[in-house]
Amino acid sequence: MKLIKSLLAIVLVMAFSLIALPETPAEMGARLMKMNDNRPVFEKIKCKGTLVIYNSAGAIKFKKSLIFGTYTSGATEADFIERYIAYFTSPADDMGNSYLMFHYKTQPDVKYLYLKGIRKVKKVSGADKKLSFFGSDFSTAETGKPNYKEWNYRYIGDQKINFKGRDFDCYMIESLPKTKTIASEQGCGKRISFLEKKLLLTLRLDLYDENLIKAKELSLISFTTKTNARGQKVNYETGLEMKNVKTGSKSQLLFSDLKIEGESNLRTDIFSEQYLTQKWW
Amino acid sequence: MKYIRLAVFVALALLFTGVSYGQIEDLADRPADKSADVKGDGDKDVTFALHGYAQGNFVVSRNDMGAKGNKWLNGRYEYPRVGATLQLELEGNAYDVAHFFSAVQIEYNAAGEKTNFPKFYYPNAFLQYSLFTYTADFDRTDISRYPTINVRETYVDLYGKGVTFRVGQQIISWGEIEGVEAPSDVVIPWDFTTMSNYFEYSRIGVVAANLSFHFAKQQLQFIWMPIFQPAKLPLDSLYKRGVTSIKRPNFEARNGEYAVRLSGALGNRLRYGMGFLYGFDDMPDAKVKMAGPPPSPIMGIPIFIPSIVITEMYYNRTYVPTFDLGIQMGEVLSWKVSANANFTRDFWGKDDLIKNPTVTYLTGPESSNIFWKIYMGLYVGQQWVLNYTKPSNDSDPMELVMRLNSFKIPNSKMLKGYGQSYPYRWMISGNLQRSFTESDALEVQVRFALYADPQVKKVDYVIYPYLMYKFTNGVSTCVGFVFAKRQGDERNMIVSETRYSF
Repeated sequence: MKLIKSLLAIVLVMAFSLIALPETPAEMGARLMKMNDNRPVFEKIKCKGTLVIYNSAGAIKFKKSLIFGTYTSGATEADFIERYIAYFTSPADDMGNSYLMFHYKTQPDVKYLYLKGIRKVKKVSGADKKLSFFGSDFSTAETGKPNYKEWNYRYIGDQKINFKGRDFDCYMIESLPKTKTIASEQGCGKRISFLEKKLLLTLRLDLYDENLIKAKELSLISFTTKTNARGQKVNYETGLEMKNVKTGSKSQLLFSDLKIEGESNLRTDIFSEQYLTQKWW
Repeated sequence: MKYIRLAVFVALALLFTGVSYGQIEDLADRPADKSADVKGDGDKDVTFALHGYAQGNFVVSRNDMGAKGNKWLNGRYEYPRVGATLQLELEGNAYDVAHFFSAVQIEYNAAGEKTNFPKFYYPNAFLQYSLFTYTADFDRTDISRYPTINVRETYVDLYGKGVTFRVGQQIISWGEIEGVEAPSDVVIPWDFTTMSNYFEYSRIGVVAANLSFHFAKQQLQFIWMPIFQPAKLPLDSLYKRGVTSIKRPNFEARNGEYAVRLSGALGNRLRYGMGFLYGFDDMPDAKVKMAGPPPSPIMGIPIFIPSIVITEMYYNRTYVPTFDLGIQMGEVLSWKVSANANFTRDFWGKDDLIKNPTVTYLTGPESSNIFWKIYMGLYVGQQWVLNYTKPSNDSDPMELVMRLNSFKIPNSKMLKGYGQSYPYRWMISGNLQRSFTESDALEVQVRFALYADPQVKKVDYVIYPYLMYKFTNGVSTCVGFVFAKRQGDERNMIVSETRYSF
């Protein structure tokens, strides 16, 4: 009996010790990024988007406006689909072009582009992730949500990041691509995310090229907080700025006139090729 | 006491941490901030907008026909397009049920254009023709310099659930591939006279009623074109060939064109299109009339010697099935196929005055970033002439004697004009594109098509590189180079267009 009690005590002590063992940096990084990835989202969004492209002297070079709609469905990773449709309203030489994208968690994204100049819908044939997003400092990959499964994560410390004039404590998470192909496709060898500790918003993201030289810096300019159709509070980024450290240029992606869920009046059948040439907004 | 102090300290620490956490939420945009936003056009139920562009044009062309061609073109280099273009685009939306679009182009060309060709009419002989011969001679001051107005597109869209209906002058584009040659893009004709860097101006809009049904990622399209619009051919090539007239089908109900196409996606990796056009060949056939005295016997053989040869061009009915395929190959590229069969009235190849039927295909890879951020579409294919007719040997006197009558003519030039000199020809077509400089402001693009005989001894080509620089919103300049040699014609040009879009 005494022996059993002793053994039980040892087992309990060991079990509690295991529980008490601190997370490894990799586990902590993965957990935090998973929480960041799983933040609640809106089911439907309709808004105006503005892409402002500055040259290295800081002057506005191009300003592009678009009308933007998204519809997200699926409770599990397998049936999760984020659908995006966008129609360019300015400048005049881009007006009429439009873009449709399906983002999945378990398979590659599917993208279509309608180019007014050739009057054709083109299915984008992959390998475009590191291409510039309509001439901006954002790459196509950086405008969408990264695929959580394509990266290895590691918590590397804490740092204060300034947002709207105030400093906030952030977790620093290093993300490394799991394969060379992913790095090559995205033109990115490393990312360091600065997640604000309470809301897990990415206040800053440092992007390194394939040679691990810092190339770009993404900063959050603004966000809004609203409740989605499931009653969850959603923190939605409404302003992002991408600085190209190498060239000195920068671009801003700003969303305004945000209408969500029911107030968006967004139909779910508009995410098709037909609506690349037809008014849906 | 010690515990109480500790508890107070912890509580204060938690409180302050909480305050600190709370601050970022306070910095979120407030819904009230959004009320200041200007409402977008999309919030209005009925909208109208006027857009367009103003453009300066300057084209230098090498005149390869020169002194040995038209008398009025006797310089080696000329400026066939020097002037300006104003395009006005009016667009409107009524709720999400109707859409209107009109693009009208006004062009002033200081170089002018010859339009008043001398016409001859002999009612007793049932002859009417324009003097499109290389001996044409006229006063150079005869050139028209009035601005021209061209309605490029004007149509109305009506939308229903799963149905769209577009009626009016419109550009209809079929097929998975784009470029100088796209076999399945058969609905609207090409403008072979274009002197613009913008690819869309190599297409000509047609008046059509275009009804499309959309279901389960598929599209079923029905098109009716009451008025046949042929391809636009350079008049200088007609001069050179001694063409006397080009006759379009009369505007009658029986001369309409009809097309149908089923296209769509099967899963995320396969796209297809199957179309059929019952229309007229956009490129004319030849009708040669040779008038003269009755054949006179020479050494017992009746020889017909024409006193006048009239070459009329006219358009024949064709039946054109088309096929498209796009297969996603991994993450990097997709493989595309574009094909058509052009069945003419002369299926068995008995008549030199009508083109033989053909089968054309192109296939190859396409990628938005094959390497070095280059967009590439590169296609290889063939055009087969069904029931191929070998050109006659015009240097054989016996063959000439046997063949000479009003219906059998020396046909090698005819077949060359039809592009049917060989049983088949090779085709390579491509489109390469890359952007450079900050903000991708400089775009470099090359479109090309190469055509070769079966032994690859004679190669025709259309090579068209261009550079476009975008200064800022809507302001761009474009310089393109045209190097073309095709079916006996050569075009070499530098095209400069500077545009302000508004």
